[in-house]
Amino acid sequence: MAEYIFRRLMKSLLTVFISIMLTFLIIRLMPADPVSLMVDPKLSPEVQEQMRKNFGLDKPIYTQFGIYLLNLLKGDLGYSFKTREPVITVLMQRLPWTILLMFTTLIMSLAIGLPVGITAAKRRNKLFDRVVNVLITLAISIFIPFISFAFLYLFGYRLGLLPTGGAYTPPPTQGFAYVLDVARHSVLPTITLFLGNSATVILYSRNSMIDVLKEDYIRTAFAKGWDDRYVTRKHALKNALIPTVTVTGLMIGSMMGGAIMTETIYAWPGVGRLIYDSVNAMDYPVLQGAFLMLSITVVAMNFITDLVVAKIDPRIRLSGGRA
Amino acid sequence: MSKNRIVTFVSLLLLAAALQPLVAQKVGGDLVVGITGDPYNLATWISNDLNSSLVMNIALPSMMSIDESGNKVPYIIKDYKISSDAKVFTITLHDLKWHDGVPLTSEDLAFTSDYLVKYKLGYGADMFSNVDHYEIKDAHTIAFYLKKPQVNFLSQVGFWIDIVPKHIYEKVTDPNTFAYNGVGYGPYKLKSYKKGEYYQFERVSNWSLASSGKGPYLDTITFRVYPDPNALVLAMKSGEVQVSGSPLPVAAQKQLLADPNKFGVGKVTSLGFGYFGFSYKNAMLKDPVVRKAIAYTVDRDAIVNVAKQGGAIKMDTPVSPVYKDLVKSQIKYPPFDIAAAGKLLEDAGYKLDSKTGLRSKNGEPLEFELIYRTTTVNIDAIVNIFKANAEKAGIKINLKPVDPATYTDRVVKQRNFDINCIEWGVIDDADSSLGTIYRSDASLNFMDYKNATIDQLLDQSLTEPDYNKRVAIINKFQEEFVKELPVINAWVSINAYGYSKSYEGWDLTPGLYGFLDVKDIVNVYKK
Repeated sequence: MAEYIFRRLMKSLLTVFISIMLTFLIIRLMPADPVSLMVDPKLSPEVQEQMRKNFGLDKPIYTQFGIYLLNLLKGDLGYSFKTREPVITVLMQRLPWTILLMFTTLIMSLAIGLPVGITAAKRRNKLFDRVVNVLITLAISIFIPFISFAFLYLFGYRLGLLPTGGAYTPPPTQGFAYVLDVARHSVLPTITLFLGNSATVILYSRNSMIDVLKEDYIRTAFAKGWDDRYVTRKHALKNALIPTVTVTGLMIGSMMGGAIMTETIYAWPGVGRLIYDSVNAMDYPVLQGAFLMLSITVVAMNFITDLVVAKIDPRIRLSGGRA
Repeated sequence: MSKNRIVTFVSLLLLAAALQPLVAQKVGGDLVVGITGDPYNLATWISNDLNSSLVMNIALPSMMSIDESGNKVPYIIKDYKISSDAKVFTITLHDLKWHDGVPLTSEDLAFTSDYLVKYKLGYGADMFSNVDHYEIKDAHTIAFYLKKPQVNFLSQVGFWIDIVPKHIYEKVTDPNTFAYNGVGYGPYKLKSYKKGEYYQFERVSNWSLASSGKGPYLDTITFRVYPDPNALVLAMKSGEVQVSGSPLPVAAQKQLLADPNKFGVGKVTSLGFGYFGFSYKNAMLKDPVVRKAIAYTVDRDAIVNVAKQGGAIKMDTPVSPVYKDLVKSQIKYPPFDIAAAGKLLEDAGYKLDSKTGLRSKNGEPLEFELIYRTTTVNIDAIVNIFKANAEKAGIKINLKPVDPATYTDRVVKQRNFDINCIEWGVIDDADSSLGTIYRSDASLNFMDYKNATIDQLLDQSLTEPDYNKRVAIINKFQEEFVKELPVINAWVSINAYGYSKSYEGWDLTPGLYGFLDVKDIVNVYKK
């Protein structure tokens, strides 16, 4: 197991390094340099040159990369072109809001998605399964801005039950009132994210459960006279969970920065909206930092997922890798 | 004291006493403003973005404001004098205090000039670069001596550059990363904020330039960021936001106007304009006949009414119609007339191929690439109207939509294009500053257009202190310009801002901040 963990860790570090390099190069290889894009051409060449110096863009690209890597080791992601704050500060201001949204969505998706998926698998081709299939198709294919506006219009404007944007009503209150205010503001973005994510959980858990239920050892378990609940819990669930665990890990990675549309429409001050604002403002240091955080999250989630799966399925760690 | 004077004095006292309760009645209310972009930095001399300036204009008002005709007028400046050679500007500031109690003085203005140049900070560094030296006359008066005549020195500096607090910045050696706390000298002071979330300002009572010295009416003004304008409109309709600080698209305006008892939409023409520019590097576009023929094919009515859905006005003069004095001369571009375009080209030897519908001369077809940035509002509809009409005259137009990075690289840096289409955000002081676009050596002259007469006229407009004479110079410039046609100006966008009718006193003048312009927002009160 230790060797397995070591090998996965090395692979993860290599992936992060490649991702750092690619992100750095993609931004530098864009048609115009960041200062030309960001500043008004009306500014004199001297002022533009000073800005290049301020952002370290006057140096050769390999020197910039070396400085970037050295700073990265010290935890310094540079300064935002836009706000002139350290990128790490900017990211840390936004991260808690995204984590809040992410975990609420994740818990809801697993708590509702898993039982629904498993029940649908066990009642395959019956009414419940058919209804679930239709709902999954709808939820996966739904256009996020459309559903977000529909929710805002209905619950925010027509019914006036929920706020139309932000994470709280400014200025923030204190104590329980604040918690309640944040909870009210998080309802619509959470439900929006929940729709797509829970559909994925249902889909994976349903399909893998269907496959597992066809296995010989399940038939054998039933032949031994054990009841349905025991067989599902003890024999089927563990194996059926493997693909769901994998996809949940990936979901966390994508939700970390992938809730761009949702966070933007609901004016939620998370990392997704930060990415949207940074693209508009051409704030490359922040984009670089956000993508780095994203890649680390994805790699870390993959790593954790592999460990969890290896724990669930001993064949993986024994064979030294996954099929 | 004469009897009349006593009567006047007593009347004024009575009037002031009568007005007192009226002012007091209007004080109160918490206004929430929705904006579609997050301010970059509270220090506007660093950030160079509209949302920072918008939010901070109520705490750090510009020295100069804009009136209904687009002219700059004093605001924080009490008085000013310009020498006859446009080289000495004597400025007197109003007697105001920074929000931390330190008096605002001419020392602050002198410091602003030195500091922005020393650290090469944004526009300020360029705008103060013409200062040779200054002389502090008294606590509120300063004279700037310029290296060369520049009639718009004050209107540029006064409008674009906010005064830097000397007592805060004098020991700051890295202004780019310094965490400025938002201390200003305006009618509202920053109370609390969280970047990306909200900015709340509170009333400065007895701010001397509002309500006859009683200060603004609203207790607090809170800016909230709604990146999506449709979500912003829903926030207005649900009562969470009372006014849009950012312009609204036409569809969003209609949503508000569907409820006319509760909401209104104020409209004001932009200080910028949209245009089609020709690259003089292209041999065919260098031919004035081709440029004039293309000018004939520009259907401004269709651009304004169809592409912009009524959210713009026609611009058929070289100078924006916002500057009324400058367009009284009625010097106009060729009108929309496709037949005239065809005849002009035919007479100049550009023969029509009946099979392809295209014209050519000496085997060279009249075919051009039109590059535009996909992020410009309504741009696809605009360029398609342009293309369709040009092709009716036998000129093939190949559309080239690009992202902002590619556009900057091709048009701004390399100047490698045939025709470009874009909208200027702000072209202010049109009577003196057009040299920044059309002078042969101007950084914004992407066309590589060179004309010694135009250069001379634009230089004259920058150094002529008499306004009427400047208008005459600009008229001569316009006459020359419509003969040359290096660009074809086509539309001026109308900026529309929604507001709640539960507040009164709304007013709009051309400028950058809509209803939130400090000189206007101080008059807004809750019903």
